[in-house]
Amino acid sequence: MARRKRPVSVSIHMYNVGFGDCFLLEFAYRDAATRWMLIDCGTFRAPGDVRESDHLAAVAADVARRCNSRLDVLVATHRHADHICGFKGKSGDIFAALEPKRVLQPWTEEPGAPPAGLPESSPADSAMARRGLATGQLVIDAILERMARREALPDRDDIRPLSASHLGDLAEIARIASLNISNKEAVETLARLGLDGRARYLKAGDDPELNDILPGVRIDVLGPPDLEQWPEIRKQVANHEEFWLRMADALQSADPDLERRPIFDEQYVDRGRRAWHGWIIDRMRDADIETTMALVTSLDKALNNTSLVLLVTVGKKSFLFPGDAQIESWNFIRKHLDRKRSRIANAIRNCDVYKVGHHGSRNATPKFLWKLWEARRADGRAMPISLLSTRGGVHGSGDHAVPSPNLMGVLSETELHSTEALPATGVHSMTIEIA
Amino acid sequence: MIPPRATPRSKKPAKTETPAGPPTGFHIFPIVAQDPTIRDEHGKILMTTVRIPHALLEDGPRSHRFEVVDYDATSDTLYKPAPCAEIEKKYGSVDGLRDAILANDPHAHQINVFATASSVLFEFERALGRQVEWGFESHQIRLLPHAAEIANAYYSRRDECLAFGHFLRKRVNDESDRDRRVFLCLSRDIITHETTHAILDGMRGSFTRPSSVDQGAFHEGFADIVALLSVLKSEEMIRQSFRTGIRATPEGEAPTQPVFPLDKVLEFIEGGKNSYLYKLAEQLGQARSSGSRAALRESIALPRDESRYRNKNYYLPHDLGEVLVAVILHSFTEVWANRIRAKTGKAAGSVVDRGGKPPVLGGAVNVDIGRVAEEGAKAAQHLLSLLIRAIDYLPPVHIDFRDFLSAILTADTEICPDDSFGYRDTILRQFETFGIKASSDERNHVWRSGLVDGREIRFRLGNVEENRWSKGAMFRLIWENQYALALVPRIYTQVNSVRPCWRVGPDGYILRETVVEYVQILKNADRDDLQYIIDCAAKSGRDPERNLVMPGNHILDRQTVDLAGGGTLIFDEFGTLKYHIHNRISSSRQNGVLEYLWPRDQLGGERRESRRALNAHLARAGLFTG
Repeated sequence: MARRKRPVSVSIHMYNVGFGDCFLLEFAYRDAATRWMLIDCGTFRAPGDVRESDHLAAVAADVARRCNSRLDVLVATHRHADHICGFKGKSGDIFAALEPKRVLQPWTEEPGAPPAGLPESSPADSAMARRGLATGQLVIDAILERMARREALPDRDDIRPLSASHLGDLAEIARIASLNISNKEAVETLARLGLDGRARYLKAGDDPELNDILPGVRIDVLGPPDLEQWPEIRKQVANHEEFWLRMADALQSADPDLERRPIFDEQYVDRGRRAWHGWIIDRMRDADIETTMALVTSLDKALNNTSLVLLVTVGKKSFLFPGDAQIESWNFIRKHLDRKRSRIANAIRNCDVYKVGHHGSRNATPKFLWKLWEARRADGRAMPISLLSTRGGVHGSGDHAVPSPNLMGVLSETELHSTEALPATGVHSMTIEIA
Repeated sequence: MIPPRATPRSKKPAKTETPAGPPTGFHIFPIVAQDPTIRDEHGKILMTTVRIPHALLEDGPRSHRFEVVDYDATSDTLYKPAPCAEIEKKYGSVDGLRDAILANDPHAHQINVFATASSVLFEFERALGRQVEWGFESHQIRLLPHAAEIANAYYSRRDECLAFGHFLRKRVNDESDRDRRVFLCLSRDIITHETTHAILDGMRGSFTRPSSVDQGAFHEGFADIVALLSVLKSEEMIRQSFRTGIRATPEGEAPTQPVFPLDKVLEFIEGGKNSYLYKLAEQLGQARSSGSRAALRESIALPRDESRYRNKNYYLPHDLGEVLVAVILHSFTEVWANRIRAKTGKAAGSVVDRGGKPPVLGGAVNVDIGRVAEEGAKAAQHLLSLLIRAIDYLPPVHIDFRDFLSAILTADTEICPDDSFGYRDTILRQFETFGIKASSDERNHVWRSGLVDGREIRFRLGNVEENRWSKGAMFRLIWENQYALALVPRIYTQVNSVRPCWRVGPDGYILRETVVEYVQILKNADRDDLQYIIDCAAKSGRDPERNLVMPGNHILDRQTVDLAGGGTLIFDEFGTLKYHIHNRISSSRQNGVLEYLWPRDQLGGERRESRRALNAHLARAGLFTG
């Protein structure tokens, strides 16, 4: 009985969305029925010169055509624009019309009260972490606003204008920050689609309750952990919230006037240009900008670590979709591997398809994972097939470029399919037969 | 109220004149005792005074070690420096400075940060018996009391500065923005913490290299310890905490005399959740909105067991540093109580021997709170000097907490052979309570004196006098003795520092020593390079179980590693080697470091060194970042 219900093949359609993710999974059953699961749809920079919203609308239309206007499961791994901005605007309307039966998101996205099902002791901590992230978003908002104000200020006589490199850094901050916050509409669409009991906000180990929707498909949630599961991080989260709250207080209370006034009486202000302080003033401006950058990137990273990490198993085949999980989140997952005879450890070890984490950045594909797969070669077995959705030249440079040159070297030893090799409107489709 | 003495320029601010009369004595500066939220019994900001050695002061203030630059990057504003002429007249007294702070006068902030930082530097120089250099070329470090609008303060080697932020705390009722603004340059523990980072970086520049978790934790923990002991050694703070702490008599009335029963005092010092440190933590905790650090609160709450140090790799350096703080705090309360027992025992003449346990007194003995505070301040002062001196007895790189314990015991044995209050026993026991055993297994866990196997340092050509200050001369000595010192030949070797010291012990005993740091560094080492080091270590025929072994494939695949090792040489006044304290480049400790750095992607060394301290502090606040 169970065998009859199991899919006979799994097809993965990887859309070229430029720097972003959009994966459509098609489960085909013996009776010619098909079930559909979409993992993310968003981009930070579309391929070619197309406008992002137009490109995603075309992608959404193609998804609708393939799945015959009926989506079974919608997954939004985390709230970054390059994963969810497809759920707003024109493409958002198309997806909404597909009426997914189940919407999966990480526990950090659950609106309102602490989620049910968490142990008694944890709601406070979890709510705190959630508030911390939400406050972080406010801070980013305020930073952007503040930067806009700074740009509007005229140059002053008494102090040197900002250097070109400082202005360049500010532009970079604005770029990262906008990636973080320009997704309010998409977040709301996702929340709406999840109403009437369709949403599941998941932490590691939770059951997404898909037995009826995707028969014969097992989906293990490997991440993100909540604070109960990972007490090592609890204290950091507490500090984290306090830190962001303090920042938010400070920023929100900033003077609403355009001019940024000195904090002491005018009689104390030195209006002369002091050549002997030139060096340190330059350094302090540097540090100020670097600090803002650090704030923005740390929030960015924190959000990546809220990514859902899904292990999809059908029969003996398994597929790993880690979203943008970073090394910290992987270190939690690694605990499975320490356990002998763990089913999950086996599935990870024998994984057939790996969605390369975080568009190929250097921190999102841990070395231990790779070591594990390389060991397969000793037994004459192939490494997993890698699916990479990315666009070069958008993020970072040198060692920190995405995709990372080092990782690309390693990935080239596997069967690698990258969206960079696709035409702008391309889709890479592959089908895996289930024995 | 307390005018600075011997400030020759104070009456003649004209910049070109030379000072009249010889510069002697000390400046006495008022400072904020903890931060502006800590008030005395009249509701005024609690102030104290610090003493710093005489220096020619200029507008700013500026001295030969510090330069206040009041630039605020957020509003892009430069503030005028505190005029020299007014430093004594207007801000030279406790009341004067306090009034100026209340009047929102930035000059008061400039003077407060200058005096507090200067007093920390003096503390180090007095304990070490020599001038301390900064970790960069300049002789003066810049102090930025209002660097930017941010809830953060940091030391930056690259920017040669200590920067303090300011920010608005949450609005309560109808407070004005002015009342809500928090200035980190008025928090004594924060200034002390950051100044200690800067001084430590000058003493041991390699401690910021990627290493085990211990080394980063040491930087943080030590800075917290100096900050806490600096508060504890101020009698004002102790008296203040006693007032709020054990004030209530059993009858529920405040005592009219500042005298308390001895047993109650001891209970308050050593006891549990209602004890002195908890009260102080509570008091400082209320000041948290002032940006004060949570070091005390977090550390005393640590369970006294071995679990955290045993699982140290799971912790961030900041969190492991709390273990070190806890060890020292518990040591502090223990010696403090011992001192009071010893002093009151003598005075009352009724010590009851309890067979080896600390003596107790029969009957109700009352003690004067002023004396209790004095003993506490002395204990804190002694501990502080002892811990600072221990830095000189640490290896130059890849240290751990066990090294620090041996360094403490050695440093104190050298200067204070007689340990009448039992500092060393107490410290050793407290470290062991937290699972930290001394590195040295020699007698009393002090470092091994001289060289192993009875080998000796020879110098045929050097001259003892030159070896006290010249890096070149010292390098010649090391070169000639590389086999006796068991260095790995052909590896890049460098003398980091040669520092003569004249240390004065608590009894006035003078100890003259020269402290030398050398390092061996190998960058981009591959398997063959490591094999070479392993072979050399095997040939030297020492401690085979303590030698480097070839790391696993995961470490050496597709990458090279940076290695650093080295030693500290301590010479006596005749140029004879007393100690060689080392973590060799060929030691097994390298394996631990590599295994720690590998999953953290830091094997490549110091690619992104810039503003490490700044980012470390931000990282502490950020989820998951590390």
